[in-house]
Amino acid sequence: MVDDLDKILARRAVPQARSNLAARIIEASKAAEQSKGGLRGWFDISGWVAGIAVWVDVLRESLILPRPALAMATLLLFGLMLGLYFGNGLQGTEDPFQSTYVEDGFETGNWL
Amino acid sequence: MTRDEITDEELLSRVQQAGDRDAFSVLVARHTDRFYACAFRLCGSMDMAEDVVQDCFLKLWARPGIWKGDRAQKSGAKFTTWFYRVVSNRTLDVMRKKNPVAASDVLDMMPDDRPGADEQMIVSEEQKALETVIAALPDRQKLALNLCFYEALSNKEAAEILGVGVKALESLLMRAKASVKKELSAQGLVEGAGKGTEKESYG
Repeated sequence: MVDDLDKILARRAVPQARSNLAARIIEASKAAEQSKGGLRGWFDISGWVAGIAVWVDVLRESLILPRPALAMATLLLFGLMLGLYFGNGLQGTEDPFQSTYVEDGFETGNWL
Repeated sequence: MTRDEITDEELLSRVQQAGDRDAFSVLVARHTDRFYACAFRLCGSMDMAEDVVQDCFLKLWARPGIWKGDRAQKSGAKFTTWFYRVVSNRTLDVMRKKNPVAASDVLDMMPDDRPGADEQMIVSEEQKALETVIAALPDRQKLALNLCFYEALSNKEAAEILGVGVKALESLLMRAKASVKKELSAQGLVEGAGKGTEKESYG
């Protein structure tokens, strides 16, 4: 009976991992290091510059927006810039009162 | 001395001191399958086992200082013993958070190189029952069974991983086997080999 139990226990199989797990872990460790690196991943910096780089990384990370929001914000900003640039032209030079005032005659003019 | 001849503890020391990626890679390549099997036997899910092993190794890479090399050197503790504990604890934590995997999921992943259809069916029934019975064991009994029976660790090492004395481990192991035997006997599967012979004679 005990022999049977041991035989059954021994038949318990473990399927192989779906892909090369070890290689995936090694790759993931590289990716984790790069993402942690920020500016330091691009330039070889040290000393007080490294301290500034850390602050830049922190700022950059705090400013990251989701892509749709980023696109919308950029468009709005672009629109605002255009509006400011062409602001005077679009506003027109006419006095709004002049355009709404119909002059029937010198003394009998009416507001529309 | 080639990389393969360097001990785990020495590799880890290189990771700690110099962030040696090659040393880390050797460590990962050397032990991934073993710890994946350990995690899988506890949780019964390939995805969960893969994730757990990856998480544990990445945590070790990010913070190699969690391995107390000096203390281990004094007490003679091995990296594998410590990492079994890390992986087992992490697997049990993840299992508590997620729903346990049904035994049928495990069966779907079984290799297809079984001899005949009848025999395969019998083995599948046994596997299903076995997975269910082992899954129902208390965590510590399950772990004791896995470490001693499947990972073939010595009682002393297994006791160290579980954080108990050798006597307590033996007791856990005995109770685990008794429970499995009782449940399988109730299902008539411990004498399964005999039944299998009968079935084969019908076919």
